[in-house]
Amino acid sequence: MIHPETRASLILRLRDAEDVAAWDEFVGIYSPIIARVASRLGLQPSDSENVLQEVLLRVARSVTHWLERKDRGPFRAWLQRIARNETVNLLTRRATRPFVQLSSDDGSFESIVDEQGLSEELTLEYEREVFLWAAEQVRESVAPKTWQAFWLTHVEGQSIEDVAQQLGVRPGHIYFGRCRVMNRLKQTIQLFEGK
Amino acid sequence: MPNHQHVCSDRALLLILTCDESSHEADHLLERVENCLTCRQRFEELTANQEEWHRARRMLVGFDSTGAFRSRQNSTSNFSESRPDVESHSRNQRWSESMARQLLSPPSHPEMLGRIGRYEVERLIGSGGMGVVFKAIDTELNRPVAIKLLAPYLAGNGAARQRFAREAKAAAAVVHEHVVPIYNVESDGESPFLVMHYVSGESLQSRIDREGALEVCEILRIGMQVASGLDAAHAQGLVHRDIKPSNILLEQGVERSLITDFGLARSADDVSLTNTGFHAGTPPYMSPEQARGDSVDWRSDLFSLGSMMYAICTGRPPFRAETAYGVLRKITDTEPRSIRELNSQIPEWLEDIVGRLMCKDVAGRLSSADQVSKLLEECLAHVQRPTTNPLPSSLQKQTSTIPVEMPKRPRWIVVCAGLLAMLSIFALTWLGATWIASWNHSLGNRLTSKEAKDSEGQKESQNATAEPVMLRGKQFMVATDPADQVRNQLLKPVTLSSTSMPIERVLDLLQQEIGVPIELSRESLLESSIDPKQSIPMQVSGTARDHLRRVCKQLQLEYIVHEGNVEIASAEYAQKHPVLRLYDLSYVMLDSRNVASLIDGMESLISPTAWQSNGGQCSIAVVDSVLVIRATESMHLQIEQFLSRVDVHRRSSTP
Repeated sequence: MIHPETRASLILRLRDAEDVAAWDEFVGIYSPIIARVASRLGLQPSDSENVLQEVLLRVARSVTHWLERKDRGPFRAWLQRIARNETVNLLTRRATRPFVQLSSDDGSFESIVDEQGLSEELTLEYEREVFLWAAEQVRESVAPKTWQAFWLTHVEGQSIEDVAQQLGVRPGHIYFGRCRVMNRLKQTIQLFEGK
Repeated sequence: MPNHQHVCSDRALLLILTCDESSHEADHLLERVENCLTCRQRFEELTANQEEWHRARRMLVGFDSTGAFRSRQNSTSNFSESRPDVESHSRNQRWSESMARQLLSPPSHPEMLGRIGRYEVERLIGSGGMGVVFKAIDTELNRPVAIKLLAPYLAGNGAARQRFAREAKAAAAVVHEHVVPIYNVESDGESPFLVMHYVSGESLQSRIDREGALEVCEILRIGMQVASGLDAAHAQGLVHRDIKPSNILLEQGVERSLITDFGLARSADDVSLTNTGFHAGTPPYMSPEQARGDSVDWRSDLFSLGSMMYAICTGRPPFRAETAYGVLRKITDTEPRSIRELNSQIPEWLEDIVGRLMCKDVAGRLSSADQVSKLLEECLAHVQRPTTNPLPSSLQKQTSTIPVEMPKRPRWIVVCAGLLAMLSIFALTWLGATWIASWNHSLGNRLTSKEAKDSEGQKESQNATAEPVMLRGKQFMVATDPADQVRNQLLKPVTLSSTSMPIERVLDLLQQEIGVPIELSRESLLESSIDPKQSIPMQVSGTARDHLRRVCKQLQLEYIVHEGNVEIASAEYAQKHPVLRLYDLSYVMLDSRNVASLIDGMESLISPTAWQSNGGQCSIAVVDSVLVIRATESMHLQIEQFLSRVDVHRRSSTP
C-alpha cells in the first residue's frame, strides 16, 4: 500500500526476504488502523492518507537504525512499536499536523488529543487487526468442518450436539476441532509477533 | 458415566491439537472426551486460557464466518480508492479510442472524436498514469492543442484532483522554449483537464526505438536543450523527477526538443506531498537517491539527464534488469557499461560528460543544469566547427578525474558556489540576525536607547550597502558590511547538515513563508567553522509560527517552543534538549561586579565536566536585568537551585 519508491528503498535495505514480507503484511494490517483512528479524530480521508504515508515513511526511515541495533528484537514487534509512536506523535502534535486547520496561533505544543489514550487505542486496534488477520489465515488452513466446529459452537454459541448433527460428525470431533482452531489462532498470532 | 480413572494425559491431549485432523489415532480419545467432562475441561484449558477463549469470541462475533474479517467497508475503502497511481501502474491501462470517447461530449463534427469545453477533440494521442492525452482544436483560437484529461476513476478522488491541479500549476510556472507550454487548466468540471501546446512530432523514445543511437551533434543539441529547460524549472524550485526519453518531445521539422509531463514534478515547498510522495519515477532513469527513496533535489534530474543521454548515445537505457527492483539495485550499486564500448562513434569527452552527470554521489555531479547546458553548447560549437571552436578546456584533458571548471562568473557567484560545495554547513546568519533583532526588540525596553539606536543604525547601513545577488534565478540581498556587534554576540548559526536542500531553496522558502527580507552577510557565507551545537532563538508571532514550523519540518530542523520563545535548532542540538530560560534580576540589587560574581558562582557550581558533557552548550548572558541561560534541563535544575539561594527567580512571563 505504501508508495513504490518507499517500498523499493526498503527492499534495498532489508536484505532479508522474510523482513520484506513482514513489512508488506504489516502495512496491510496497519493501514486500516490508521484510517480508522484518524477518521475518528475527525481527519478527512485525504488527511488520514497523509498520516498513513507519513507514518510509514518515518518507519521506513528508521529501519536502518533498527538494523544497526545489536539487541534488535523481532521485526514486527519493533514495527508495531515505532508505528504506534509515530502515529501518536503525528496525531497529537499540532506542529507536525500540517494537514489540519490550525485554529489559533499561540504556538504551544499542547496536545489536542490524549496521547496515552490514543496510544492504547492504537495498541488495541492493532491487536484486533492482527487477530482478525490470523483468523483469516487459520480459516484458510483448516478443513471447513473444523472451522465450522469452532465458529458455530464458540462464536455463535450453538450446542456441541446440534453442531455435530449439522456437520454429520461425532461430538468428539467438534471438541477437537474447536480446540485445534483456537490453538492455531494462538500460534499464528504468536508467530506473527515473533514470539 | 464420567470415568475419573481414565483422565487423559496432557501429552495425549496436546498431541490432538497438533496432529493431523484426519488422524485415526485420536479415536479412543474422541470417546474419552465425549464422555468425560474433566477431560474436556482440561483439553480446553490446555488449548487456551479462559481470557483467550473469551477474547476470540469477542473479536469474531458479528462477522460472517466465511466472509472477510478485515476488508470492512469503513476501514479500507478510503485507501484503496486513493491509491490510484499504484493501481494504474500495475494495471498499465491501455486506452482505446472508444473508451476515451466516453469521457467526452458528443462531437459537433462527425469526423471528430468528441468535445470538451470549447475544444473539439480529434484523436487520442497517449495515456499515462493519471489520464489520457488528446489532440484537439481550440475552437476559439483555432489552433491545435494537446489536452490531458484526468482519468475518470481519479476524477472523483480529491487527492488525485489536487495532484492534477498541482501538476498543471507547476508546469505552467515554467515558461521556457524547451518546456511544453501550458495554456489552460480546467479543474472545476467533472473531469479536470489541462490544455497544452500541441507538439507535432514524436518523443525521443520513439525516435531511439526506431533509429537506435543518435548522431553526436544531435545528442549534444538535445542534451543542451533539455538541460536549459531543466534549468528553467529548477530556477522555479521544481524538480522534474521523471526525465526520460519518452518525456522529451521532438518537434517535427525544427530542431527543437521540449520537456513534457511534469506529472511527477513536485514543487519542493509542497509540504504535504514532499515527504510522502505518491509517484514512482520510471526505474531505468531514476537517480540513486530516488531509488533509495531519499529526498531528491535538482541534482536528481541531472542524473536522469545523464541516463537519458546515455540512452541516446547507445540506444538503450543504462541500467537494465529483469525486474524493477533489479533495476533499482543496479542504479544504486553498479556502474553502467561503458558508452564507447557500445558505440565507438561517441567521443571520449562526451562519455566523460555523461559520466559526470551519472555520478552516484550527488556532490560529484556537474553542479547545475545551466552548467550542463553551457558545456554542451560549447561542445556543439566545437563539433560543428572544430577549427574555430576548441573543445572546452575542462574537457581537453581526457581523464575523468579532472573536475569541470566553473564557467566564468562574477565573484559572488563563486562565493555562493563555494558555499554549495560545503553542502553540510549552511549558516542561516541572516535568519538569526533578523529574528534576534526582533527578539531583542521585545527586550528593547531594557536596552538603553543608545544601544538600540546603534543597532538600528548598523542595520540601516547594511541595507544601504547591500547588493542584489542572483542565486539560481532568485534575488537575494547580500550585505557587504561586516557583521555588526549585536549580531556577533547573539548570532547562533545552525547546521543544516541533515537537509539536502540547496541553501538558496532554504532562503527562498523562508522568504516566502515568513515574509522577512533575506539578508546574507558575506562573512557568513565564507565562515567555514560554524558551531553546530547552537540554536536560534527568535520571536515569531501569529501565523508565521505555523509557517516556520512547517519549514523546520521540511528542513529537518527542530522547532522548539520555550517560554513563549521559538527556537530552531539542528536535530543534534535538540537531542540534548537545551532550553533557554530567563531569570529576572530586576528585584535583586546587582551591579556589574555582582553580575560577574553571580556568573562566576554558577560556573564554579557547575563542574567543568558537566559543561563538557553537555558539549559546551551552556551559555549565560545578561541582557539588561534579565539573565539568559541556555542549558540542558538537568543543568537548569542545578542553576535554579543556586539562583533561588541568592533570591533570583525564573521569569514566569514571556519577554
